[in-house]
Amino acid sequence: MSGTSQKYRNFVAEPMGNKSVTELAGIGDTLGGRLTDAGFDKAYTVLGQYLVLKKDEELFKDWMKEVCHASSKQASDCYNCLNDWCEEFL
Amino acid sequence: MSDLAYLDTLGNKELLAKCLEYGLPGVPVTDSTRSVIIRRLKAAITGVPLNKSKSASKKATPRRETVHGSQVTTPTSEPVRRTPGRSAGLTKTNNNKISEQSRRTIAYGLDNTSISGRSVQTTTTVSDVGSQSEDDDYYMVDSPGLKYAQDQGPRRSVSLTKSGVLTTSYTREVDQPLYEQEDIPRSYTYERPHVPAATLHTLPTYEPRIEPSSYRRTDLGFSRPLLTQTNLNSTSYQEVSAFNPKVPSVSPRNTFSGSAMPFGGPPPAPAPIRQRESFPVSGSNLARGRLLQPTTAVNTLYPQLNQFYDQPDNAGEPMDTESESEAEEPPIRRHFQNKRLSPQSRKPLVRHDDQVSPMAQFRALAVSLDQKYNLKFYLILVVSVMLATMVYVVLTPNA
Repeated sequence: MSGTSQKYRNFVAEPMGNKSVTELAGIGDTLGGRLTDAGFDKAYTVLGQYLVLKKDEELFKDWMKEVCHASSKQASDCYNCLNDWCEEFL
Repeated sequence: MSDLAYLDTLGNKELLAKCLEYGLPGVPVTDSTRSVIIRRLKAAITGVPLNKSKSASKKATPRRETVHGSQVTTPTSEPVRRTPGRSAGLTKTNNNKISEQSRRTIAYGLDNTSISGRSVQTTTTVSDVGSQSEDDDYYMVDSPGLKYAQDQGPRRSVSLTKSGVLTTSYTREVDQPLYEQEDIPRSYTYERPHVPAATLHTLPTYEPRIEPSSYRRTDLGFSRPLLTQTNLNSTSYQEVSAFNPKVPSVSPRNTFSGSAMPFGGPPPAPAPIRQRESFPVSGSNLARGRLLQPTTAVNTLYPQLNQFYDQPDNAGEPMDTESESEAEEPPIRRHFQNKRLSPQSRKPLVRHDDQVSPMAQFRALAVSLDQKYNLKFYLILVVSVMLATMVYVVLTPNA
């Protein structure tokens, strides 16, 4: 419903490189800390998980909720961010 | 619970086999994905979705959302949209890809909506395509719960906005003919002020058709020219009444040439008949007819057009033609004013003008010639010379 965030646009606008996981849309410092504790410190690691789950939205969201206790909106934002990035650069 | 223990003890390969056994996607089982996959297997085995998303995610969770949105849109949206949507969907053969595309399109649509309304229309059409394609593909496959549809409410709202945009586009189509009709008469209106001479040219061409018919046909007793003229006039009035009240102000000028063009239905038939009849008649007429036509015609035409449709303009325009017509103008205006109330009354007016016209036109011609060539002066001069010669001849004693 609401427009995309500036964070989303910044991430989708360019290759992720070595961006931190907190650069992903929907991932703030809190969730970023949890993901980092789980070993997902870089955005490309989360992207790897997203690809391992074969871009399945529900699986990815469930994984996000399980790993970093993300809310539905946060998981959805992160999924959309990665999905659109893959559509653009993958 | 026994299922839980059983699944937890299974290895990664066994879990993958279980997933395939229950129709779940063959996601590679790793330490990071193991827990998620076990959850799904539990839901698949028990048949009771722990989470709404899980139950939906068995086959294609994103599809459900899009499907619902499309279902909502389908009643509002027309079937025509589906065809382009399918074609767009065909480009991406895989269902997963299609679902992803639909999601992307939605995201773009959101961006565009925030930016500008125009981009919204284009993006919305695209998103409709994706959603509808998904509907077509997945509607039979999945039977998602209504709950998912609620989650996708925002996307649906986008589709609704799309439908609204489409409806507006239809309204535009309806409006276009009106604008075209209005534009044509406006062009005529502009012509007058710019070049009065041009108006004179246009007017005499139209009028001679009426007057010559009055001379010969009235004498011969033919009613054709009158009928044709009445048809034209009547059509113009009727059409004006049919259209919006604003149109008639412009349309009256169309009655001559524009009557056939803007009013597609009935008017075109009488218009060509006029021209054909009018042209040969004008050509067969004597030189008088031609000379008379422009003078009288100009007077009649301007008051007709102006008085019928544009009252404020009446005073200025007819004066430009000639001062001789002033005597004729007041009666004509009176007739037209009476005719305004009843458009069909025009014809009798034309007849009345035609019957009176032979005498009035001859007078007008004489007056115009007097003014132009000073005939009276020359006539008096000639008569005086003749009288002088006569007196000289009579008085001279040479005889």
